[in-house]
This record gives sequence, structure tokens and C-alpha cells, in this order.
Amino acid sequence: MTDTDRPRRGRAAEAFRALDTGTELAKRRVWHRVELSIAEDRLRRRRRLRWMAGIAASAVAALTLVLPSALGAAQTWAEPSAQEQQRVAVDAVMEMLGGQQAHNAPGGDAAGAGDFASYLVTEANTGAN
Amino acid sequence: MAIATEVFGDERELVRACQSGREIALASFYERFFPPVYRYVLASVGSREDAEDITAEAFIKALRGIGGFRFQDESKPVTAWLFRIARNEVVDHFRRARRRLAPSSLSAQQNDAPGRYDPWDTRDLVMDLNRALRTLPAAQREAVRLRLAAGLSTRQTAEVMGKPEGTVRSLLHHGIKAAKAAMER
Repeated sequence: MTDTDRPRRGRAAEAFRALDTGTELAKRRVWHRVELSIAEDRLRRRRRLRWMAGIAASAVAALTLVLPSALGAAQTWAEPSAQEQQRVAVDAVMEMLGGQQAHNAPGGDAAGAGDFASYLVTEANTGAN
Repeated sequence: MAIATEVFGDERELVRACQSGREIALASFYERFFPPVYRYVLASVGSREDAEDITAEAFIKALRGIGGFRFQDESKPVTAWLFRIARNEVVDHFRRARRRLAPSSLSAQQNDAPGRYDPWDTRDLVMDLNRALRTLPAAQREAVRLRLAAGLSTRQTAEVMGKPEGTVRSLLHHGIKAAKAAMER
């Protein structure tokens, strides 16, 4: 026996031995609580995973519904309207005709050149269709 | 009913199996470490009922946190980690008890612990040991609890306490002498 071992005689020795008594019974009793806690933890983790999977599935479903209409709206927003297309075409025709042609246009004045260009564009569109 | 366990080669293998979440590994970890932890806690609090509550809490915390345990080096084995959890639980227990009760009523309550927790009539002996150890300086008390109550080796005691083995030997030498004297008084 070294001076770092348990005492072998006297009340101190008895007291240290008393610590060993009943360990087996305590071990079984405590295990029930630990086991229950492990099972509860597992259940909680499974529930959390299910909840997260549900959230992810809902997010995917919402994206599937929203994305096509959002893309359509974005496309509509990005494309010029028919009215805008008409205006751009009229401006281009006006530029091609220049001042001279504008004066020879029906109506015979500069203000009438716009109407003439519009007429040409509308005719061209109707012909194309 | 016996706890279903499996034999694991060494501490590392057992801890890795626990980290992979195998239930039988968790049970084996408990089976291996319960006796020393329980004896350490019992020597610290002096009541079997409280020792069971504290040990249960320590193991619940350890098994919850074992996924985050990493073997840094040989001087920080899982025993040291587990005993630190147990020690923190003991400290928390006394902190809660101090808030709840005056010291005199605390020891009275411990002496009145129900018989089903100590059918071997060792209550007085355990309480006397607890009282004797409380008269020692903190480091000596901790060394005696870990070496003599928990049954750790001097090296393991040094690892848990984070002190050199020589220092722990000296603490044990003086601590055991003082504890014996206090018990025989």
C-alpha cells in the first residue's frame, strides 16, 4: 500500500468502502433516466428534421408556383409594348423620310409628317400580318 | 434488468462508436464510467439521492455533448472531460442548494434522505466522510475524491485536475492524512 491508496483500517477505511456499496443498484436506477433522456433527444431530433423537411418542401412548392408567373411578369416588363414599338418605328420612318418627304406628305406640313409615318408603319404592319 | 452493452477495445473506439450515435455504445460508455463518477459525486455531496440526480444529469450532458468531444492529445482523455462535467454538476448543485436553503437545513435534509436510497445503512459513514473531506483545502479534497472515492489512478487524477503527477501525489499524501485524522476525531 502506498501513501496515495485508500486507508485499510479505521472509520475512514469503512467510509470509503461504503461508497462502493449500492453502486450497482444506483447504476440501474440512473440508467432509466439517462435512457429516457436519450430517447427523448432522438424523438426531438427526428421531429426537428421532419419540420425542416416540411419547410423545405413548402419552399420548393411555393417556388414552383410563383416562379413561372414571376418569370412571365418579368418578360412582359422587359418587352416594349405594341404602342412603344409603333412609336419607335414611326420615329425611324420619320428619320428616313427627312424634312423633304415630310413636306410632300398628305396634309403638306411638318405636323402631318408624323401622321404619314404612322400611316406607313401601320400599312407595313398590316401587310406583314 | 441488465444494461445491454458491447465490449470496445479502447476509449477511442468507444467514443467514436458513441459519436456515430450507436445506442449500445452509449450504454457501454455509461456502464464503463458510471461507478467512478457516481462514487466521486457521492463523496462530494454525501447523499445517495442527490448523487443519483447529479450523476444522471452529468451523463445526460456527457452523452448529448459527446459528438463534440475531440481527442486533442494523450493528456486530455475522455475521463478528464467526463469528470469535469461531473464536477460542474456538483458545483451547480451546491449553488442551487445555497440559493434554496440555509447550510444548516441543507445538512438536516441530507440526513433525512429516504431509506430506499441507502438500505445498507451507510448514510452516516458517507456523511462523515463528506464532512471530513470538506475540512481539507480544495485541491487536496479534489485529489482525494478522484483518487480514493472515484478510484482513478494517480495519473488520471492528474489529468482531470490539470496538475503534474508529482503535485497530485503530494496533495494525496497530505489529504489522506488529514481526512483520516478528521474521521477518527
